[in-house]
Amino acid sequence: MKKFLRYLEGHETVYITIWGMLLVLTILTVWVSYHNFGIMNIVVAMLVATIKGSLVCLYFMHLKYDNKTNQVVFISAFVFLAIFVGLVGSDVFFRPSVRYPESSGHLAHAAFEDLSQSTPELVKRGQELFKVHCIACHALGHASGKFKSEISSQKIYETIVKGLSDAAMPSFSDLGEKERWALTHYVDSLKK
Amino acid sequence: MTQHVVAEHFESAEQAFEASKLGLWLFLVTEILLFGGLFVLYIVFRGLYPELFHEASHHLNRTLGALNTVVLICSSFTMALAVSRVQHNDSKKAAGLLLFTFLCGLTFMIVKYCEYTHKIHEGLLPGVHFSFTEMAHPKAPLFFSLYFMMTGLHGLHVLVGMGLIAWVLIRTRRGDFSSQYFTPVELTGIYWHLVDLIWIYLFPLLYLIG
Repeated sequence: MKKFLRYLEGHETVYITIWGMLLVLTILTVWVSYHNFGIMNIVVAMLVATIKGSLVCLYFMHLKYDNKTNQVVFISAFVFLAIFVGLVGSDVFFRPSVRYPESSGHLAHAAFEDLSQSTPELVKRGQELFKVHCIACHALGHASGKFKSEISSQKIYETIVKGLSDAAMPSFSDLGEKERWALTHYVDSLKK
Repeated sequence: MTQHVVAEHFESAEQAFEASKLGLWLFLVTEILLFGGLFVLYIVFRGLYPELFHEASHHLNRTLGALNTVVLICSSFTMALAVSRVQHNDSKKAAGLLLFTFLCGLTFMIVKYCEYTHKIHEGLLPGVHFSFTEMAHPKAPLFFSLYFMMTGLHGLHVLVGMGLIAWVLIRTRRGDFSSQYFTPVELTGIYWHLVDLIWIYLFPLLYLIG
């Protein structure tokens, strides 16, 4: 039983110190939030949170005095979390087609192209997208998914954005603007 | 006082203790990855709609958030002390500290309840219930869905932690624990600190950085 008590001696005073530091850091993080440091806001907030979290793990959870296995096991959680964040983040933020032009301005150059004019490239892109997003319901030649021939391209675009509540068609507003126009021109080309 | 008997597949009380603790740490890894999913969602949506998160975080009550942070930190502190007291054969003080920890958990939930009622009253529940008009951003419900999911899952963990603390408290009063056997107190403590750890991140992410 000696080993049990090894990490206990004199720790109650350490707990008081840690408790005090956690409270001071909490005040600090709230105080900092009232000042604007631009991009540094999130860096400072996460830094303070990580210091607080480390204090809790090392002292309150006894991880500092625990055996190596438990330390490695717990740290591995954060390694896996980093992989999770890294892969999802690189997919979402660096894949052009899922960027959201209306909020981020990543596709600011798209404003210079007139997407409402049909081009062979857009129609081809629309055909590829159609196979992914639309074909499940709009199987070509299937009665339920037939397109009305009198519909204008503007109307097609609006339908893609808003969906049709009476025909159970969902909104595809989470596609990029270019993707929506590509689909519009492809569908438009089908009815001719 | 009842004497704890070490299960026969363990060599010693120490081995039994270490085995239980390793099990708990593995469980905590799965907990971090469970919350990790929500943190990833947060990062993705924050990256896509930075101005939404900036605006929406001002609709959360910082004072109540900060109050809950202090409450949880204090409860973690008393929990750590309680574990230490049990290990020093001081069940009486340990029971008092555990009771205080439990009451902190209760305070946290009451504050959370007040926050939730206010938010629900404002029409911030996601889906068809969303009727908040002060924000023009078309994706406004997104932030509040994340808010309810993250704090809701965390609140559930607080409730589970409170249940565990109550159980350990009853057993401490009964005199089940001593310097020779305190595994449930130690493990409940580590779990409770994890609940605190998650809140340490949730608080700045949701309430502070706009």
